[in-house]
Amino acid sequence: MNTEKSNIFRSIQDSVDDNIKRLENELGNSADLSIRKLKFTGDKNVAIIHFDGIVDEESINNNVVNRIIKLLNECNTSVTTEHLADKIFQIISITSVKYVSEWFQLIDSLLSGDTIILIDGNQKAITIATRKFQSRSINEPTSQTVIKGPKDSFTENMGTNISLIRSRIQNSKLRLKQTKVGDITKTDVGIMYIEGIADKDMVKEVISRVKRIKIDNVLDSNYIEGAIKDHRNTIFPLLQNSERPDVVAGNLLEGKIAIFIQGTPFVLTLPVYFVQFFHSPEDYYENNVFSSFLRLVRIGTFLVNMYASAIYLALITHHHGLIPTTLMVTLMAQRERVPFPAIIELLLMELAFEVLREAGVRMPRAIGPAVSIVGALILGQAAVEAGFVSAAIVIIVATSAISSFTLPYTSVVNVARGLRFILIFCSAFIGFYGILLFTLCILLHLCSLRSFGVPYFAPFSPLRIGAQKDSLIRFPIHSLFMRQSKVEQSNEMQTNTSRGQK
Amino acid sequence: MKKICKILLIMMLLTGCSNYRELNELGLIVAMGIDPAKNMENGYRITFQVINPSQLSPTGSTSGLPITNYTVESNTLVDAYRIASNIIPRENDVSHLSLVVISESVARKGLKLLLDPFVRGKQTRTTFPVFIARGDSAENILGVVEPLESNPTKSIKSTSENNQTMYGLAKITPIHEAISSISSEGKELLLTGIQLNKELTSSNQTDNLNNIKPALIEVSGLAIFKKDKLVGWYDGELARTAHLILSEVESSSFLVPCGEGDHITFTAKRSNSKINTVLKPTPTLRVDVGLTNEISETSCYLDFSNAQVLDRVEKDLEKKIKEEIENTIKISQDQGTDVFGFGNKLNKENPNYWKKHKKEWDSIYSDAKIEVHVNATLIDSGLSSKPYQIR
Repeated sequence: MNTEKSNIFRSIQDSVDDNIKRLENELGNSADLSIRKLKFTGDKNVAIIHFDGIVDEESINNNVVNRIIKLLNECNTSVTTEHLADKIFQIISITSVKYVSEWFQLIDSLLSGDTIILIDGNQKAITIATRKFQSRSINEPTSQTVIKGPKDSFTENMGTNISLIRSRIQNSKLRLKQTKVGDITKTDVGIMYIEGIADKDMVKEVISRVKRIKIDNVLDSNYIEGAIKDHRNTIFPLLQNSERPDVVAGNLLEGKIAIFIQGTPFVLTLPVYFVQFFHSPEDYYENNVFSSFLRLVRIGTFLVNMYASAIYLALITHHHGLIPTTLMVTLMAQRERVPFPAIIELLLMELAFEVLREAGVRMPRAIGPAVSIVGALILGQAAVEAGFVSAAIVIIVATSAISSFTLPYTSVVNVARGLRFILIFCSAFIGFYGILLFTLCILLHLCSLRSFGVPYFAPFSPLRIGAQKDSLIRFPIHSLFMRQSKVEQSNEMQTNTSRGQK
Repeated sequence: MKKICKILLIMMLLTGCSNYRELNELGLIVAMGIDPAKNMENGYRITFQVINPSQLSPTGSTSGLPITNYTVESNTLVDAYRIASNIIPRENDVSHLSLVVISESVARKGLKLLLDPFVRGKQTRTTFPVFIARGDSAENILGVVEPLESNPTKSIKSTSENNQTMYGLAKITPIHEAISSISSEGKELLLTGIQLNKELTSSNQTDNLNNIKPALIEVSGLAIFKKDKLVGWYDGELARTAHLILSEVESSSFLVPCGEGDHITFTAKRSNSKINTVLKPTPTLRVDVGLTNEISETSCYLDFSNAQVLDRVEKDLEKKIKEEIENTIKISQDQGTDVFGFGNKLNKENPNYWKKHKKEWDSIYSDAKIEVHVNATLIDSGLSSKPYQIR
């Protein structure tokens, strides 16, 4: 009895009306479910079912509904239901048409934008790929801009994103594996790599990690990133995310693996080295001398962003002897009327900047100028004139703040923002000694990290001389065209074949 | 997480151990003056010059003086530094000490181990210069504010630095160099002297700022030491010549008489000198000086496009410098103190001889012959060859 019932539940039934009732029941009479019933003989029906909004209605009308109506008009009444199903299957002028017999398949394809045709007396349904999600057009990238170089960026639609890569790498070896992640959202996730360049074991590992994800919903790439990265307790980004097709294509060509997620313009690539977060795509589109210089600038500003406040604090509270006398006198003069200890003063300004920055992202466009006036005047000038903070602190905080905008990846800027506060505390307690101790901790942590089994801090630790061609500085294109930064080979994978979570 | 909490807690407890000090709690000592004590029998009278930062603020009012002098008497320097907390309202900090002035009377009595705390202490730098207050107390010299450089410490330093590059009379002698001169064999100490060019007219120091001809700190002579005691002075050109022998002159000007009260002025662009002690068989003090000059002024009519004239004035210059050098060395021979380090040189080149005779070196030095070679090169005569004619 039980098995029989579950069988009925699992499969599609004979009667179209029963099926429709069940569908409406399961989908809670959803208002956007569109059902078109056509009579073909006696009380037998053909039903065309789809969700409004996620399908290409014009194509359904022209290629499905019109043709079926024409067919039904031509058909004589004696045709059997199987025959009719085959006939319909033949005449639909859409490339991807399938039979399904399981109920859950029917539901899944309906929800993903397919059109379903149910026929009385037939336990199979026909699914037609008519999916057309609404999405915005391809725009310029907003978070990773360049002056020279490609100006397109990914959109929320995975199909579009994949097409952007396919158009760049027109090669038969470009592979795409697709799966769904998220028990509730059932989000499409595509894993792309180039066979022959990407490491096979790593591809397998990535696919298996993605398939093993147990999560209810996936709304952005970070859901996937958090679920598949090697170490859960780290603030360093272990996967790179980019909204630029040229970056992803470049990474694929280096043997990396890309993960596309429906609904987000950010595509993940892996494995990643720490130094890659300082590389801008523009580095490859400009003269190598110039772009090498800019890379060093970016690394320098990352360090300034992280260390400037802490070093300043250490100097003025612990190591007075290290400041040149003239500067020391100027600083003393500035601090003369400031009522707070230096650490409080610094934290106040740092927090004020974080607030301004957050306000800048969150506020409605129309009141943008108000925020910048308040920020510049109140914090910059008035606070100094009122003697709440010293001018030097404002300069230091502003320098470190402006430094944070040179990096192309916000995930690594956030790391520096977080670590900066810890460094400030360390330096307030024991000066340079504290800064040095914490720096050692950071370095140890960096060296211990793996991104899909690949040492995160390479090519510095372990040191690889050959890979230095494209790490801190960039060598000319002709010396880079070999696949020198090819991903680590399997011996290093073996240490981490299972998920290696720490 | 627990571990991190523990570490943070421990860090909180450790704050007492750190030397966290706010800038506005510091009294920055920038200069020290050392005089003989007035109210004690031995002991020193120490003047600490402390920066008053609020007077140097770019926005604040500058009604007062940028520095304050605090004077303390004690037997030792470090003790005085601690006692100074009786009167200095802030935690005094010597990490920016940039000048020490020792009064002539202390130097004449002998420095002994006076400089010891500066190299023993962990906080002081060892690169700040030492000066001798000539015929005056260090306290007075540090108590003069000048209009152009209202901080006396900076004034003394920049005056002597400037003189060192422009004329060569003064020299910044860092304390570590002074100590190594005192403690090395065959080399005695020379220290630049400073003094006031005139008495302060008023007891109110700020009056000096409003005076168009204020009392100024001037560089004056070079103190000659024998062991740790000051025994005499090189004045004016002699001091400059002493530095020329030591190869310390960057550029300077030399006058050569060329007629009745007329002079040619040479500007030395580069100079280098080598001293040597030659045994033949008794030690002879040999100095080789190379000078690169240009003629920058003349008050007699000479045609400098004529090579013979140039040769002649070159020879005159060489002769003049040679005489000066001989005079300068003679003075130190009279005092029996080898301030140029001839003995040191001998020690390096002829250690055996040195070992035998180092006890009586001072008398050998006094009697030694002097041999001076000057090679003055004239590179140009400026933009004109002949002086203009008065008709």
